[in-house]
Amino acid sequence: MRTYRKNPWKGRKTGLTNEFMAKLQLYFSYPFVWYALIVGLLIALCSSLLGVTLVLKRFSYIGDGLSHVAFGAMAIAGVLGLTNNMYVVLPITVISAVLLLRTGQNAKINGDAAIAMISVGALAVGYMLMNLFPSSANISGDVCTTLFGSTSILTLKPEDVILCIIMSVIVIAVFLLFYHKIFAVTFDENFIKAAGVKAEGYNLLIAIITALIIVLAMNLVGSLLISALIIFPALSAMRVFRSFRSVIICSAVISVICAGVGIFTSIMAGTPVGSTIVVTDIAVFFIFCIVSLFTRRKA
Amino acid sequence: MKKTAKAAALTAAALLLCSSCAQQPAAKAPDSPSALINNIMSEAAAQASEAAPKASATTAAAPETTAAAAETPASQDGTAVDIDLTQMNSTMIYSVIYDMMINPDSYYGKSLLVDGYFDTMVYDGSDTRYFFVVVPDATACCVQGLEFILTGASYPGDYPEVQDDIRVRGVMDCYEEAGQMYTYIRADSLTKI
Repeated sequence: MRTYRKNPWKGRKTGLTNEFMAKLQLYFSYPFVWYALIVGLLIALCSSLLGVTLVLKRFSYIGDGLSHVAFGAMAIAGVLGLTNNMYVVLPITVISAVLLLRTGQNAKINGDAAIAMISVGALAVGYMLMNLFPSSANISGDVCTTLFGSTSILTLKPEDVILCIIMSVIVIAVFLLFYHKIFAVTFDENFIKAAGVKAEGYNLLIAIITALIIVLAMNLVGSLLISALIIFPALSAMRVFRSFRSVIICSAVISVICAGVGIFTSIMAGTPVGSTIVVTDIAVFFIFCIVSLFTRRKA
Repeated sequence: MKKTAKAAALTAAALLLCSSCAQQPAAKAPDSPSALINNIMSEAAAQASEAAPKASATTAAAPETTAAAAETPASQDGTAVDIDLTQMNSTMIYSVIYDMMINPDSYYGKSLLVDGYFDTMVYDGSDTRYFFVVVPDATACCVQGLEFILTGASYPGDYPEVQDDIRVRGVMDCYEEAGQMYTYIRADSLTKI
């Protein structure tokens, strides 16, 4: 007797796969999807490189503060009617970063208080300016887009991509060239000062790179979520690895993978890009926390 | 402190020069009534207008072959269209429409199927009524509208109520008004869904 066997899911699975692949092919036929992927991965790489240094220097929250400054600067650019807000946003953010990172230790107002003050102040001033001098009828939409990134990463133009590539190359090159000095400044600033190295110069360099990354990353995840892009990959890597180099390499790999998965998921599932990337970062952080439990036991 | 301020000022100046290299074309807010929707995407609309060809009104430019429009998928109602936005998720729909505003040349002459809600308005100083299919983004905090013109239809009899969900099928086209080019959908059909 012939046995009748049939898998009812077989055809359906193939159908779903074909549908998924067709959708994938369709979406990736648009140039702006590729732009988003390229820019997203580059920003993730740069932010993770710097993230380790900032976390170790106890400046985890500076990303948040500077992004709020950038938000305020964008509002000023809107009031001035500038078509390219980078003219205002970049200089103001860089100056704020320099002031925060360099005067943090010696100023009358301590580092964390200065960050909090500038952060909240810039946010309030920015929102007030946007309301007093609206550049469009939809203020809440403008604010939402700036704070959460919305879909702005999928609306990049080729010029934006080129600018991002140039800035990313500069950031990576600076990091590789001054790796040892950044390492020294990160762990023992007093020691390298005693050794005759100008620590202030390297702090200034870190401040400028931080500001550059913040301005770039605003397109990807928005003002409120930038800190996550800087902090989570570094913290995840620190759960498992111990040396500076291995933490940086692991952090870069985690950040790039999370950004890639986040962008891909948001494109395919229709979720907001920035928050999807951050949620992926959070998931990886918890995975690394669990992994660290086992690795520490073995050690 | 003086050194810090000096260094910051120099850095800012250098970065300012750097950013000017990647300067974007100037965009001005659309002052014409048929600018897209509620001036929400005013910048995009202005850029679209500037990027549009100086063609005569209602004349579709020769369609350029882009990777995006290379395929002609069958839409949900079975008829083939070049760009079927009804089969995309909200993030992609929003992004594609934004791309249409930024790079309108790539889309002229392409057939299009889009879902959204209906809106109409008469702008100050104009007696012409404009019709839009409005599409929100994934977070629903931003919307974009595509103007459409349904040939032979009269308002209000042939149109749905404002905020009604609609499906518009047509061909991307452009027209000139007050010296500016505007992108619109030359609609074949308007369906309430």
